[in-house]
Amino acid sequence: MAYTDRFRRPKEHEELLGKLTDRKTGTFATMVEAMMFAALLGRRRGERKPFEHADEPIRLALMESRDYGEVLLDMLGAVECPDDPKILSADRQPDRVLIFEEYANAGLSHLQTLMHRQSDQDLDTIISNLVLEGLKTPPLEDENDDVGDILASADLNW
Amino acid sequence: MTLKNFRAFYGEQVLDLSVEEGKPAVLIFGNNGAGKTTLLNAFAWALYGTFSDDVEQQHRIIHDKVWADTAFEEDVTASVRLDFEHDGTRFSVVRHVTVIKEKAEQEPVEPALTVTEIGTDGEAQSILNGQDRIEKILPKGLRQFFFFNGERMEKMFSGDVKREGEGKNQEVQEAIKTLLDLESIERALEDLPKVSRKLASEIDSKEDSRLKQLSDHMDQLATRQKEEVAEMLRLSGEISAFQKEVQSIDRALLQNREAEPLQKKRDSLTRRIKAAHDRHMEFKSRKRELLSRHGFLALTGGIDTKVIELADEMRERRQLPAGIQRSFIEDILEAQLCMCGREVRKGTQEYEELDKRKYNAGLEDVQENWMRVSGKMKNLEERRQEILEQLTLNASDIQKADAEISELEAERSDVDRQLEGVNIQDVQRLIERRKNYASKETDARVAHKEAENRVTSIKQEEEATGRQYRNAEGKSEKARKIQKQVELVENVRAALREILEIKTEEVRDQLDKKVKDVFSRIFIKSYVPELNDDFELELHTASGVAIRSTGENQILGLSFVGAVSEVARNISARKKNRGEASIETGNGGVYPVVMDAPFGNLDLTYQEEISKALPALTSQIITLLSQSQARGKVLENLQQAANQMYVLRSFTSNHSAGEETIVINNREVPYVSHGDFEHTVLERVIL
Repeated sequence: MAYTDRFRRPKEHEELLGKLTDRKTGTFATMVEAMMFAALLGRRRGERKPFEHADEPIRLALMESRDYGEVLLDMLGAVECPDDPKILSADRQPDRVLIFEEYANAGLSHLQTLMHRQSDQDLDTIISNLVLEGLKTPPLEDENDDVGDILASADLNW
Repeated sequence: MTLKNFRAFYGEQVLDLSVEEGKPAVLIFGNNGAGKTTLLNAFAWALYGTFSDDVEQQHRIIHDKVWADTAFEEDVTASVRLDFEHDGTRFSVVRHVTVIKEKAEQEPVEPALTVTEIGTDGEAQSILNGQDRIEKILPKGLRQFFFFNGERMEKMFSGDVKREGEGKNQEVQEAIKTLLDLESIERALEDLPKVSRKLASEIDSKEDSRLKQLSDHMDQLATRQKEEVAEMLRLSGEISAFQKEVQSIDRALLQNREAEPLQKKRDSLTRRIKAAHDRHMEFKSRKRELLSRHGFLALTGGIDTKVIELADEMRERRQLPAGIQRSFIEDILEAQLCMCGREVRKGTQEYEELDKRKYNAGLEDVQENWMRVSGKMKNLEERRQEILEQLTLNASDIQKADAEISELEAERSDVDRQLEGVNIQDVQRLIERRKNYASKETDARVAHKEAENRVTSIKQEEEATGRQYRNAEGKSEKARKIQKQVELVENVRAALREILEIKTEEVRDQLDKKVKDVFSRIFIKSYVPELNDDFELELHTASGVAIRSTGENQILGLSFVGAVSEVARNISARKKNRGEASIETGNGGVYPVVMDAPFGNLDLTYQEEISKALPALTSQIITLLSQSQARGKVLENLQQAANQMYVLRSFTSNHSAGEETIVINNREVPYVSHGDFEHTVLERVIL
């Protein structure tokens, strides 16, 4: 049975990950936390970005020891392949890791863009804006949300 | 007194200070700034060539206009001349500066002194070492008791000059010694041991090794004691130097005292700003922690509902009973034959049903995962709400802290504006230095005490050795003779010590009585002053030692001045009667007292009492008064005792200043007048 005990991080974003986890100015305490956030950001934007070059991989156990870290791969896998229930089977674990990695890569790219665009704001502010936005506005695929509809009809781009 | 171009006094001016029986006072009225302090200092300058510390610009002895009118390379003179009678002899003391002007500004010059003696035969002869003669007539050590500023009088006894560890009022002690000429006795006490040593050294160890040994030991002890005493003196000097430093720092700090509450406020604001900053940082790191640990959960909106939806769909599909293997179904479909022997053909409904179930069969192990994951999804909505609440609360915390910081900073810069010109670092440095000096002072005191203890033990050892020396059996005739001589010298020394003690006590007792007497005449309250064994002035009430106010101190000081003057006169009179010569501490002289602002800041009741008592203090009393101190009863009392009255009339070139008069004897006398330049004139008031 194939099983991966580590996940990769994109080499391209090495510097960015360094910034995100900087002891003084970084928002994230650890690399794992930064990657988890990036993955969900990528998922929310519906972007997956494959990559080949990876930095030293991170042990999955680190993620699994965190609150909701143990179901994060499963959640992402489940919603990524709604027509393939077997995605949650044990032997498909490497696929789920890959989904996670690619979402994270896309999320990191987005963060990079935001940091360029809002260079006057510190990292905490950028991240917390994303968080508040995530909390207050529904995800794109939820169509039962009036506010979203109104916003959409008003052509407000969030 | 004759003044010539001396400071505020332009040209030559004469002050007649003569008094009569029953009219011992000379009153001089002067405005503040008109030159009262200068006049008071003119006496001391004539006699000793120095000013008191409160005189500003001490190098500017020559009147400004006189100086300005002097051409370069020309000479110019200022002088003070005192003519007085002492013990039947008349003296004329002239202190003067004569300078050749080379620069625009006056520079400090050493004044010259001429002392002339006019004998009973009218023959004038100049005295070579005039300063020595003055010192014999009125010692410099006593000057503060005869020429003084009433406003500073309380300082005489407020402990400034007292040194802890010595427990004696140094200044008073010195004054007493000067009065009694006790220095000669003290010198004798110091010299006699040397005589003993010299005598004892004539015995060598061949003649008497025991005596030689003892006298050598005495020598060593004497040397050691000398060293320790020198050390004590050095330490005393150090102590008072450190004390002076501390006092001057205190004065400097006093100037900043107004700023002190502001500085305190500033410090407290700074502390509060720092605390608010700390809180801000704390909230910031709390925010980071929230974002880092739970931020990703905020982005799970939609994912949780989707997962739950998918899991529910799975559950709705029909399922195989648990435990049935997929391979079992596959075998049946392959063989198209059930285990019960019934055919299951492709295309039939039975076949399709089984085939459908075959799909689900493979999902058994997955199903568990789905249930687990969707179960976890149920609380996510709640968690997201929590995170939102925490972040909102955190944001408002940060905002509050920031608002507080900017409010406090605004307040602090307001305080800074008020503190402009006050150097906070300066004050802090001063406080630091004060601590430093105070601790050095303490160290020096401790060292002084230690040296004192060592001296005491050396003295005990000396006594013991001296006894052994006297009691030792002299081995030779010569040794015994010398032993005897040494003993005699020691006896003389003991006698002198006793004389010193008795005399000191005698004077203390006289002074004490006199102070009590004068004090009770002035003071209303039922306090009794006492000059204790350490020559410290105390005030006693029925309930013990009283705390002295400025006014009480002043009266006490005044009483003491009167007492000193009286006692000095009595002592010299007694000496004369006994026909003692050689000791000349102002023989039978009338001791004048010159005082500026004798009422300092006393209230009216005391002023009246003092004005009554003043004339009785001594037989010649020159009093400098300002207008505010010469009113009603006070003026009446003083005038009754006055033989002469003068006004220090100040002329000013500032014609916008009002002219003033002072009422004396119901007559208006000019006091401040307009003139061409700033100067002061002594004008006699005709009684």
